[in-house]
Amino acid sequence: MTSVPITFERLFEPTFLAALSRWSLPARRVAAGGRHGERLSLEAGAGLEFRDHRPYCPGDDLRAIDWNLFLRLRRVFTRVFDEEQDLPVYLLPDVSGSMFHDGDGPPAIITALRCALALAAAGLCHHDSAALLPFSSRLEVAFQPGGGRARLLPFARRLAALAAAAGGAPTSLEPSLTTAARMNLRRGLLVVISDFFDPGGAAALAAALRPMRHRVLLVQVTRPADAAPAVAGDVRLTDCETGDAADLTVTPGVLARYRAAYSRFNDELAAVARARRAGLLRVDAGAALLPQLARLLGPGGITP
Amino acid sequence: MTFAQMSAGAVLAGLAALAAALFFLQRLRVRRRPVRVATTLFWREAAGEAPARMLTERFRHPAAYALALLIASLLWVAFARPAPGGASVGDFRTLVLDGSAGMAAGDRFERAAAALARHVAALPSSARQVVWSGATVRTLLNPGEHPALLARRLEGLRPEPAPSRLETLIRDLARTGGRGEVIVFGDAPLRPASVPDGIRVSRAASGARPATRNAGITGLGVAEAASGAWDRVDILVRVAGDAAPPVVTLEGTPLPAGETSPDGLLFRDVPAAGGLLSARVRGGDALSADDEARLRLPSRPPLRVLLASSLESALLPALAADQAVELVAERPGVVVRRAGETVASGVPALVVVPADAGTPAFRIRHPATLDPELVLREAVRATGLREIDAGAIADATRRPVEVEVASAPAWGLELREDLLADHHDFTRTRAFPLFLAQSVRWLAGVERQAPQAAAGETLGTESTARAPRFLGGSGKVIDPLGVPFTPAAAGELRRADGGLDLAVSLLDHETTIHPAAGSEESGVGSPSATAAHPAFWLLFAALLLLGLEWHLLQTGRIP
Repeated sequence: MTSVPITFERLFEPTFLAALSRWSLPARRVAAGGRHGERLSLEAGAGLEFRDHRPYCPGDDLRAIDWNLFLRLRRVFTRVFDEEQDLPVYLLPDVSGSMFHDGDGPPAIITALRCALALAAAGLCHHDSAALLPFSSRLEVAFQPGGGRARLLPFARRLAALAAAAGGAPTSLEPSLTTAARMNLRRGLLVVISDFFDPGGAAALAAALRPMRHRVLLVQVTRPADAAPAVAGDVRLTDCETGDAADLTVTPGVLARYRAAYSRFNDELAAVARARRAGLLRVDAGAALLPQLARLLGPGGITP
Repeated sequence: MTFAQMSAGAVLAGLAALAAALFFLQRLRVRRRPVRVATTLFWREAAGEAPARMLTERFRHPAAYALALLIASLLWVAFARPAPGGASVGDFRTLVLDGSAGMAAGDRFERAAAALARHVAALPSSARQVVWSGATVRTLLNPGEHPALLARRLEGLRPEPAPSRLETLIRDLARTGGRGEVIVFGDAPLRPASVPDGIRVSRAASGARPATRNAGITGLGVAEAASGAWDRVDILVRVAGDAAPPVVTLEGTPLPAGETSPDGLLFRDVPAAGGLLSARVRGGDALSADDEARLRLPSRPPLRVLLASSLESALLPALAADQAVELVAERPGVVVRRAGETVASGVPALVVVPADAGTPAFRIRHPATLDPELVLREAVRATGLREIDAGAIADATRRPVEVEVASAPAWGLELREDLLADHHDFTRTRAFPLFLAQSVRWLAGVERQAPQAAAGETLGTESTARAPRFLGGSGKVIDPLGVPFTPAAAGELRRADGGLDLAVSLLDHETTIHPAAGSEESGVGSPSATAAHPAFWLLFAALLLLGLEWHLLQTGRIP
């Protein structure tokens, strides 16, 4: 638990909110079946952008027949246009106890929720839909999928409420993501924002992503203390999620092994992302967020 | 191997205690600091290879224990100050700081005091005492006293104008059961033959430079004038070292050039009027304390003697022949009369008493406040009674010759009348004029003049109940009764009766010669010098091991 309450004002500063509208989510064609939006859909439709011709079939809209082509070829073809639909964005922020731990700096949850709001804003401001599905030991639906810029503020307030009501539940990636996979959601972009400190390690994440039909973006929120903890001597380490205690004599050698284990974990996480063809963005909770998000949401950003 | 700080048993006991304490500490449960972390996922991975120390379950880290024990043992042994072949803690040391006049040459005293302070700091307080050997001997630091007291007690201490008392001090230490070693800080000469068996004496090197040259007055004596003049004395001045003849003055007036004799410079028939005689060598040298010597000459006014007419026939020739005696009829200093005559009562008198039965040959009368034994001893010596042939007198008078002491209001010497009879030879013996002259002088209170007054040298006269006493700086009488008085240091000694001061001079040949000859330091190494080497290497080894332990700790090889 954090020692300082996380309020709406602490989470979303005015300068941060002002910067959100500039960004958009880079995405490939969206899956068909959505609402009208700004993103090209895999489904051809009645958009404005010409895509192709196809032979006429009975029942086709007569307005789509290309008469010029008929005069040249004496065969009837109809024009096919791109369908522009919205991108459903499913934001899964981790609200487990580790995200609220503030032993050696600001808690990771602040950065995680800001990331979630930034991604939501990038979608909602461009006619995409956004849903909020926070998870810890299980997944919850905190904000139903929906689009429109007007939903941004309620979305932010819901995020702030999550921060205020957070508990110390442990991280369970596999059941949470499995639940998300089984929710019959329209295919979209699923963003998991977490420190990924699951007791099962990176293997649990790999197992959880296996049935997922969505494109996946993993946002790993890291803290400087995770890589280089300021712990030395004889200590009793207590896991803030499980309460498990471990007596340890921390020597430089132990610290070196810790750093090696953490580095190995990050490597495994990257390997899972590559295998799943998912995007992986590492966000340092100890640094300014906006420059880091620009790598994802700015020009030439990461495409999940 | 011995240890300067403690006994070998104590060192071994300390090592055992260290081993036990470290073993206990190795098994002691550590008080763990609670730390709340986001996850213990990676810590468990890291801890799997280096589990935490546990209490009393088993001895987990013998290498760490051995290393810690080795470091602690080295430090402990270094603290014990090992001294291979050196004196052990059981040896008591008497550190003697030489404060004699010779230490005033150059910076000898300062260097000796500094060397002393280093020694004291290096020795356990229970195994040493510090003694000051100047004009007097006194303890500067008792066993067990904190070394810091020494600096305060050395403040203001300077070499005193006195010869060295080192040999006397060492003899006294041996006589009083002094134990251990005596370490001398100074240049006082010490003849090996003067060191008693059972006591070891060494000299600490102070690093002082030997003086280049020195000359001084080593003898300034006075004696009765060879010419026989009562109011004159002869003076002998002796100089040591390469120096021009000294300047000799009497009350500031230079005396005529003296005669050169094998013993020194002789000045004859110097007026004995209580003047202050000074002899000074010319030019500066290494030591100033011996450059000048002073001597208070006696005062010799004529002795006013009133001789009763009844005794003129027997005693007048002898008295008249005495140059010191002036026969007067009034205001005499001494009366010579028969018993029963009432002449100048209350004045010291030589009285001829009838030869009644039971009357001793000589009877000395003295004030009742004085010790009869002291009075008798002084009177027998001063009146020349030792010189008379008592056996012959006893044979002639057929009576024993006895000397008695009796108290009386005034000083007196009674002489039995039959000793003056013509049929006895006493008045015709050569001892009689001497006896008569000495008796008159004794009755007149004429003091014997000490041939010279040198610091640390016994005066030729004894302090008696009759003679004036000498006062120290605090106004207290310092000369003991009945034994020869030895002034401790050069200077002026006041007299209790307000008479002429006694001028005491250094007059020590060894002191004058020694600075010029250079110090003969035996170069005994200081305890710090001898014990520091092993301790230094032990500390160095401990430092290296500490570095090794730090390296092993940093690399995680030991917890």
